Amino acid sequence: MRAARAAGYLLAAIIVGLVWQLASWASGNLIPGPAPAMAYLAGHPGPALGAVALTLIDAVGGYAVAASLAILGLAIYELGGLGEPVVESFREVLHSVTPVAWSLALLILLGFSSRAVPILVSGLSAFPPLMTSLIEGLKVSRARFGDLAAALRLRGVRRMAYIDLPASVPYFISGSRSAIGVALIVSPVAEAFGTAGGIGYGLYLFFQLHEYAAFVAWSLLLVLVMIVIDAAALGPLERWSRRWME
Amino acid sequence: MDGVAVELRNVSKSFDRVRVLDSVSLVARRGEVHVIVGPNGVGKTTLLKIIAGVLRPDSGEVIVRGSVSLVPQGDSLLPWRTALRNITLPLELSGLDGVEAREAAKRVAEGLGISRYLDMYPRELSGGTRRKVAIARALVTNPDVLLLDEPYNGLDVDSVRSLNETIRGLSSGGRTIILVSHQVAEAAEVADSFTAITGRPGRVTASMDVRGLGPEERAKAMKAALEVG
Repeated sequence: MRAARAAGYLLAAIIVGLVWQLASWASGNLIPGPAPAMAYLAGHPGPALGAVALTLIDAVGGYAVAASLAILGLAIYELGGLGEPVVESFREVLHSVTPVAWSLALLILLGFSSRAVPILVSGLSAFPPLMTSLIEGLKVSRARFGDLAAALRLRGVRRMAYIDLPASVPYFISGSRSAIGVALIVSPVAEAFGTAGGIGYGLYLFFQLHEYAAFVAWSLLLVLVMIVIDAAALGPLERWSRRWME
Repeated sequence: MDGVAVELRNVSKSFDRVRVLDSVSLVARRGEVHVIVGPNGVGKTTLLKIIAGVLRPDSGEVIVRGSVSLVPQGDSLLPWRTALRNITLPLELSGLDGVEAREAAKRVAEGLGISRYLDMYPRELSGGTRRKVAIARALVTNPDVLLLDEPYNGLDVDSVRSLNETIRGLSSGGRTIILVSHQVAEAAEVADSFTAITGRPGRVTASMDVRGLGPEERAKAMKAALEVG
């Protein structure tokens, strides 16, 4: 299984590399190919790694915001009655707002150098997939353990503590995998508009300065970081969590 | 009535204006295994939930003498808890101290012959053992009446035999057991009496004491009662 997965990554890397090189040739080398991008990264590792660290902090902070909102949403959803449609509507609304709109609104509100902006933007964008996953988990828990909860007279907070929250763990982890992915993708968008640093800010700057090799190199680094985090931590964690409900 | 553990008089129940049970009456006596037999979808589980007090009937009377515990269909073991911690759950909910709860659970498990599985998770157990763990969870509060919903679902022949021995042992200890099943042959092995329910909405087609009959004759009586409907 691991060998197959490694082969899959290798094949994907070869295909992406080929397409990238073809795009570079097609643009008359205006888009730097893999070789100059790698050379740039090797020559300037410090600033790139610093920017990645900052973006990771933004994404993890954003995920924490999303997770807090989602747990609060789950508690409100569990109340039943108006709780369910309110949470569903809130999720739909947040799901429909582009990160650019969040970024601009929060930059105006909090200032262009605020570190809170990319954190909040990635949090608000990561909330919908996490909430969707938690609601799915709650529905599965109700269907599977509804009779048991009724037989044990478990309701409200006690039902949530003893049954629904533990039953939601694999859904929370699965949703977290998506949410962290979204947070990592979205936080550079917010960083690009502000002046507080991170990969997004660097990409915007390099684009303005026509430093295309640096632009592509930093983009590549962000992609690699996301793949490593997913393959090394989030994917295995999700696979482990599936056993929780067997 | 003397010796009556559970009695239902003309119980009816509807969901969203769809009538599920129509004027169902039955009597289960103390220390007997009473089987409610009928095809799928006739409201047997609804009836069991009404006896357990989980659902209220729209009309009719439900008399239960003593405490009741329900084993839901499909056992509903919590997969993140070991067998022991599944069994202690009702005691934890009633606020009993952890050590006392574990000791009580171990005593019940010993009685059911599942002591060696207590540290295992449900996924590590066979279907029959899972069912016994679920029964142990229901028994740990020492109920007077034990309600079993489709206990034979998904069990192989050996597991059914072992489960029936457990059921027989529990009833000979004086506990009333009401068992709902669509599997006539399996349920006939342990039935002291039965109520057959057929149709939609579910109606009683026969109630019978079958104590003096052998397992095959009991099964024949049940099948005949179901065919009437």
